[in-house]
Amino acid sequence: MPRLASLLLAGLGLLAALAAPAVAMFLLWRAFPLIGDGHLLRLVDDEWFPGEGKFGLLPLVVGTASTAGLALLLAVPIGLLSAVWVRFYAGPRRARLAEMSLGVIAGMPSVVFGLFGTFWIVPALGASLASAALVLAMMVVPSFALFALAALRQVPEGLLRDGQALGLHKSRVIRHLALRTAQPGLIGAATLALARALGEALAVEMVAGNVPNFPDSLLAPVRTLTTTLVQEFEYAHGAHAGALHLVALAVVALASMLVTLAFKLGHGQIHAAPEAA
Amino acid sequence: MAAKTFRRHDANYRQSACPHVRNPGSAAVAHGLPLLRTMPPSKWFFCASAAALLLMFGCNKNQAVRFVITGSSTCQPVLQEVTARLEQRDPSVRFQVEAGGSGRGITDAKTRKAQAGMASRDLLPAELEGLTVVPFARDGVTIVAHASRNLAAVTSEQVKAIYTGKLTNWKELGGPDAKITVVNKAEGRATLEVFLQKFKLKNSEIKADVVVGDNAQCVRLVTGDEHAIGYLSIGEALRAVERKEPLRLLDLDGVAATLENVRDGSFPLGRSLYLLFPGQADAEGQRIVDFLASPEGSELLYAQGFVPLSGT
Repeated sequence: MPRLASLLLAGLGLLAALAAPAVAMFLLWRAFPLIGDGHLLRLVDDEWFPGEGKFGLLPLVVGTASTAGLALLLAVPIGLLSAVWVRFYAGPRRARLAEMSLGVIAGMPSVVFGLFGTFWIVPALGASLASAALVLAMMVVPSFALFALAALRQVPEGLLRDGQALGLHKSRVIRHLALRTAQPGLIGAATLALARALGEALAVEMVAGNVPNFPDSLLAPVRTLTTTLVQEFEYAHGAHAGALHLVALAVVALASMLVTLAFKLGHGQIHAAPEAA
Repeated sequence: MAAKTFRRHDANYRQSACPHVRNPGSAAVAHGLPLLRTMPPSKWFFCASAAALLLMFGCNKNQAVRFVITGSSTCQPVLQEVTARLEQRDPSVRFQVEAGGSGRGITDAKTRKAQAGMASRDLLPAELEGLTVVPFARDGVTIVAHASRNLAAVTSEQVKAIYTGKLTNWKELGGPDAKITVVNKAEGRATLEVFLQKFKLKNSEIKADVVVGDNAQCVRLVTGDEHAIGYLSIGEALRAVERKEPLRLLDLDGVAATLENVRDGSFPLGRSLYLLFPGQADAEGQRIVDFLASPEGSELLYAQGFVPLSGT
């Protein structure tokens, strides 16, 4: 029986590991009508107008990178500060309350954020890059803060006491000992946040304007890879549908590149950290 | 031991989940028995789950509705209603109506993936091949603005200028000093194609501020932004006005956006709605066409904001 159980587990593990390549293969296969026609070069073009046979992915990639990057820029300082506050400054009751509310917000469906954005942010900023980045930042702050908090909690208590015993001020202990030691975990948290921001489609579609161009200001509309899928997939056929599968593949590739990067960075830090401390 | 119980379970599953498939592949199972015993459990597990998956999909296919209609999301609500009434009369035929855009309706009808397609734009000569095309209603595409705007009419030239970025301020339309929010439709929507065809524009020439997916999103955007100008199906726009949403239908080239003007053909931005059948329409397809041409069908079309074609 244990043998069967372990085999079962191994099988399920393998299935999980194979899921990503299988998805990628599927997307490639579905994209074949476009690749097969020798239109692959058309993808590196700066215009996305499928109705005119223009399948340039560049504006979409730029849109995705700019919204997600800006969102991360906003979310990391806020999330990090709230994690530090909960871990080191808040009393036990407040910490519990804060953690609970972060959990609740982290679990909210994206359409709620999208609606909030349409009614409160878009009237002020228009359907634009800024609106999309704000909505995304709101979405990723709670989960980033929770992950960061978990990383901070893993810092050994003894290390912090050592710092205090040496007469270091609390803020220095936090900056030089806690944050330093938790760095790999924090990088992991940021990467997950970025991956979520890259993949979010629904909330962004409601606030970003979705015009496939290169945004020349924060108030210009943008279109991301995933919102293109949301808006066009059901209505696409032929080469257009093929191109959309490549769009999906681009999202998968971006996300997996990020995760790999986070893995590398994280591991490097884990080994280096004890020496530094 | 474990293998045996699992197999029995599997057989039960088959019978209960798929009652009308009479013991499919029982012979194969019988022949496969010795093989199953010698097979290592891991392989066995994979085979069993694969078989279960196959059966699930097979089952779905067997229970599937008999008549599938796909295509234009403008036509979908009408056909949904029509087929619901037809099902009430004769429950033995089941219909399934899916929205996916006129392009998909044409492709699905051609490849016989669906028994009928819906289109809310004229078909290109190449697309007509092998299809029976039955027009069943007229619709118009209207330019809309926020109700608070003191603007009642636009001309084709103005629309063209607004959408190509040559006319960008409300001042030039007699409004306040504010930038116009130009609302365009996403690629693949028939409304976009009707719009582009009428104004002889390419989508790449349009300087949009927002691209929306469906008509409802267009209504939400224009009613939420008093600087916005957009375009959508007249039927949908009239329904939004009925719901007291702050939306205004603008006269185009001096013709009001009303169903009467769509019917007599005077509204410049009109289009036909079509049903498409691969080859000839079969009995069920003909039932739908006949229903749409009946007085009950006309009433239904009017209720949805479309103009029935008299005499078809």
